[in-house]
Amino acid sequence: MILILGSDSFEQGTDPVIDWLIASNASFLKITLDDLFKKYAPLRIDVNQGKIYYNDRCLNDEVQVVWYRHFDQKKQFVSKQEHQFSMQLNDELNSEIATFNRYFFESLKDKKWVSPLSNIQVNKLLMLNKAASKGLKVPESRILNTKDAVSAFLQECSNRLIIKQFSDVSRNYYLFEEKAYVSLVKGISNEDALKLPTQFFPTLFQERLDTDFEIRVFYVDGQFFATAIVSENGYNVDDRKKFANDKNVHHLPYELPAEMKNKLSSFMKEEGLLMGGIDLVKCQDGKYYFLEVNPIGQYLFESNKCNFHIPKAIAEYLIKEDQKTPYETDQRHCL
Amino acid sequence: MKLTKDIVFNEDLLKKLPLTYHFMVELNREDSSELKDQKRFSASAKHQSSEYLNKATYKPISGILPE
Repeated sequence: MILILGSDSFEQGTDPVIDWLIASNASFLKITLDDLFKKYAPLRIDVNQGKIYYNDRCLNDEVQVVWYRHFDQKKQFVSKQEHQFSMQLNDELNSEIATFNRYFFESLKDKKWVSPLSNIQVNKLLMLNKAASKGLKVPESRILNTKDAVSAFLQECSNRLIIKQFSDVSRNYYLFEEKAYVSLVKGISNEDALKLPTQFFPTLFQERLDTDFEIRVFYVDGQFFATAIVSENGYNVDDRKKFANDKNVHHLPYELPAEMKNKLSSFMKEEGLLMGGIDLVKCQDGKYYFLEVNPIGQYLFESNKCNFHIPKAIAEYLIKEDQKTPYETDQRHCL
Repeated sequence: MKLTKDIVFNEDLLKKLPLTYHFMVELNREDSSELKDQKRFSASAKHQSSEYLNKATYKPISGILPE
């Protein structure tokens, strides 16, 4: 059986894969934290035996493959309006869940995880180092906290810099009635640099590449689905979030050179990632740069634009792995 | 009082935040498809999903015939 560890809130990529699992009569089960801790779905864990029963099905016996999709997220159980100790209560309940999850994941550690949990929690800064070690080009990057250091780095990069977040969490939206505010990738000019405070919270600066177009790759255990994101008005440093609906931006299927595929395969294997979204750029001089990898990744938008049918490819991969005997499962891919 | 970005992310707060927050971008909620503001969800027992969204295909489906 395929166990999908998902999220209760809308997760665009998961249901289209489930469509194909249903169409293929595959055996699967989806569990979310809300199922367990808010809806109280029938759960029984024999801690002494290390056995987990969900709806009277023994997960240890039935599950072969675990597909991890945004399962482990902080939950709000009590709102500020409901109780004065909401923050403390939420912290304590999330701590309970964290301990539960640790045991839950450990109990299923002999299953094939797509991808292994320890590999999913990547550090984007470390990934730049690791990609470079596989021969991939990465932009010059510095974490800086003074105006002087920014001026020096600006000069080093011919006055072409961007700033971006360390993590995806700090790219969430802040909603004010009909408006949404979000921190996106931002180009930094000399003028911007002059206005910076003398000292500030450490921030990631990268050289602004002379980009021709961006490439979004979704990788499924050796298969590459690459989309070139081409703008009629030329490349803008702005974040993809800002121009996703722009009619002058086109999404085209793109064939990566074999050398890039080899380097990316080698990188993904080294990091133990069986799936993931990889962001690249192709520069005006023809060189490719690696920007980041998202081990869970989103694929539906590009899949629909380019007719890639990525959800089908993922479902087929999960079914293939589910049908392998435990002996065939590569233990390196487990938790 | 109507809350705005400049009131919530005021200068005192920005001093404690990374520079990316100094350059936040304003978008219309309805233009940001990622927020799914205009979407109506249903539930699907088959998909074991409580926020199900049946998305229309962007292009005509190819490869629909059984292989």
